[in-house]
Amino acid sequence: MATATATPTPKVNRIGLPILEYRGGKSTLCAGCGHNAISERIIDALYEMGVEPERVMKMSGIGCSSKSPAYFLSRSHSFNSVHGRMAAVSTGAVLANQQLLTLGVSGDGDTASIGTGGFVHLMRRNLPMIYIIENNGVYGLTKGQFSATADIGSKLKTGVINDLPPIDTCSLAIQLGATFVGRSFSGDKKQLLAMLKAAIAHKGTVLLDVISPCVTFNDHEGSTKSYKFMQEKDEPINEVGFVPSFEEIDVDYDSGEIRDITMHDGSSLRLRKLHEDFDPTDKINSVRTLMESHEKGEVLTGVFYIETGKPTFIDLLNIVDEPLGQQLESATKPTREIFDKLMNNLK
Amino acid sequence: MHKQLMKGNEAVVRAAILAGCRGFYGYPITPASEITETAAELMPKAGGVFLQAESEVAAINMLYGASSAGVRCMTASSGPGISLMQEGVSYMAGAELPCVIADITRGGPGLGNLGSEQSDYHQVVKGGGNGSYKTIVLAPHSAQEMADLTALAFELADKYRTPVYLMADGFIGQMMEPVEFPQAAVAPKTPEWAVAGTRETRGNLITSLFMDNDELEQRLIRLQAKYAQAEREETRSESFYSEDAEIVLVGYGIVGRILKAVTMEARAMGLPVGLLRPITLFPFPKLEVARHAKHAKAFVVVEMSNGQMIEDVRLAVNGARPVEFVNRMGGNVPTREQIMEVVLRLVMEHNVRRSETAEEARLAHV
Ligand SMILES: Cc1ncc(C[n+]2csc(CCOP(=O)(O)OP(=O)(O)O)c2C)c(N)n1
Ligand code: SF4
Ligand SMILES: [Mg+2]
Repeated sequence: MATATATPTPKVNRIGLPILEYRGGKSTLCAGCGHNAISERIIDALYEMGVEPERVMKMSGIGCSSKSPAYFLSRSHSFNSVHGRMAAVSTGAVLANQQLLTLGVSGDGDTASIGTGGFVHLMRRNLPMIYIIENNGVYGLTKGQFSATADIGSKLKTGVINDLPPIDTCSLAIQLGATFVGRSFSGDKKQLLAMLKAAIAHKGTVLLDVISPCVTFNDHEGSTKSYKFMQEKDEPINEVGFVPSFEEIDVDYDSGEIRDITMHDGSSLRLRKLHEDFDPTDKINSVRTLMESHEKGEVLTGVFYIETGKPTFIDLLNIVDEPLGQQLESATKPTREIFDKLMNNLK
Repeated sequence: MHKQLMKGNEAVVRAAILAGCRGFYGYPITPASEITETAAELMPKAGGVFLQAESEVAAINMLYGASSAGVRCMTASSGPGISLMQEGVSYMAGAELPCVIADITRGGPGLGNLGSEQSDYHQVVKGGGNGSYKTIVLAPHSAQEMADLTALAFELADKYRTPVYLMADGFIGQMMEPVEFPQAAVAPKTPEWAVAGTRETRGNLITSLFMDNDELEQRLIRLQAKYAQAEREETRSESFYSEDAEIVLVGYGIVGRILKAVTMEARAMGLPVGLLRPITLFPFPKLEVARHAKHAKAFVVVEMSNGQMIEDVRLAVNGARPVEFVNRMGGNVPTREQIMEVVLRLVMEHNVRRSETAEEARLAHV
């Protein structure tokens, strides 16, 4: 008796796409590199949020981290830009087409040294985009020199010890005007996924600093960006939960501990308090908490700052909704009458 | 001193320290990072400063500061990083400040790739920043020359008070060869024009800014005079079987090595082929090229670029002889066969005489 083996229909998301449609090329990064895990979470987040892949613009600079957009979302648009210039190139691209969801992946070297100038100006403009720093404390691609996010006392394999203070991109971003700022760890699937989904729902600049160990050059004893170090020192400031606008909020929780923040698209970011006196909507409080954590040698993770409703750079510039390169001639070409009037005025 | 086996990149740093260099400011980039890493290790041991800058823009400006204070200093980078340094190089040329910049070239434009190209010639030899300036450019073709020309670069930088480039490619940087260093080290000393924080040097003014047109013109005339002097006194090239050659190959750096092999192959066939290898790219050995044009029937310029040095060869030949071009790009290397094919065609076209037997040729020339 023949048994009919029906191929099981693959699971699809709310726009009817299987997760396969969110995948990218095969990674050429080292096995175990934190960047690979972050690519996986990006895939999950976009899949679960039901974002149409063609609606995503992937930006990056130069580095192993900046190569990673090739390893997720093959169906999207991608721009592997210039070392340290992802911020500026993204600014140009976002202003040219504000209808796409912009997701940038940079490294700590790409952002915090050669790219600092562009980075700080992007943050203060609150340009709508997700800016992810895959932070391993070194320049992976050029073989492991210290970057400017390396902690004091962190040791390279060669024995060289870093004695300069790290740049905390999160407190910088908060001070400068980014409206969604947080830190996560490539090894923390749950937290990173929730933060990415909330980032997709946010309108404004999102800065996510994701600690992402470089297994080849910075994962040894003495490194402060290793898997082991993170497992020991990771100190979540809040437990991050996210309920998208298209799902029911389940009300079974102890409301005293949870802060529910309604996002631009109606989704809900739910932060369960883990630290007394921490308020993620209070800038000064957040920056102080971050600075105190450095003193204590902890690596704080979680959502540090969120501000919904602040005008983005697009709002400030008051530009048209349609992509600048796709304007119809009827919308951009003045009529004969208007043109003549203009010329007359110039006489 | 005995010969030591080492990579060209390492030879640069050792030679720099022996030449009195006490400041290295760099930013990692393949294939120049090895120089930076060796400097990180050795410079502090020599009592000097090593600093990993936040960008190439920062690195060159650190040289601007260090050089003003009278310290012999250097950096190393590659294509995209050199592009970023051009602003600083222009300022230093204008302010007449010495420094040494090692450019270990890679593929371009933009990010290109990590392969070896010679496509930085224009931005390095022609003065890639703004203004009427030039920089001296030295082009080694062996690990030994990496050391020798580094030492020379510091000498010339001080003598002419100008930035000097050492331009090599990834092959020469990576190649392990025996290298011999000078017996004595140069002791660092502060030049009298520097702003060294002393009573005597307090009045020294280092600037590239001259608001008065005539004053700026005077500075520019002085710069041009220096470049003219460098052309008279510092031009260097190697003639390899080229004195009687009817076909003269021209190539620098790693291409020079390939052209030596081609020359030997052609000579073994009894063909009067020779190589003229520019060692200084600015000043360019134009008189040597012109002199060779007297007995050559044709020139073959070989480059790993779209043809940049060939412009200088053509200017020097000034239409007197045909100048053929052989190249590869994108990190590819011209092959002996590719060059030989052109050589043999030229032999036919120009009725180049061939010695009776290869053996005779060998006896005559080797
Ligand atoms: C102008 C310029 N300078 C230097 C480089 C060489 N470079 C490529 S990637 C990189 C650093 C990458 O570090 P990071 O952003 O932390 O990425 P990772 O590889 O660690 O993920 C450097 C210095 C370059 N491509 N361009
Ligand atoms: S070198 Fe480091 S950062 Fe680069 S792919 Fe390998 S593990 Fe990742
Ligand atoms: Mg990094």
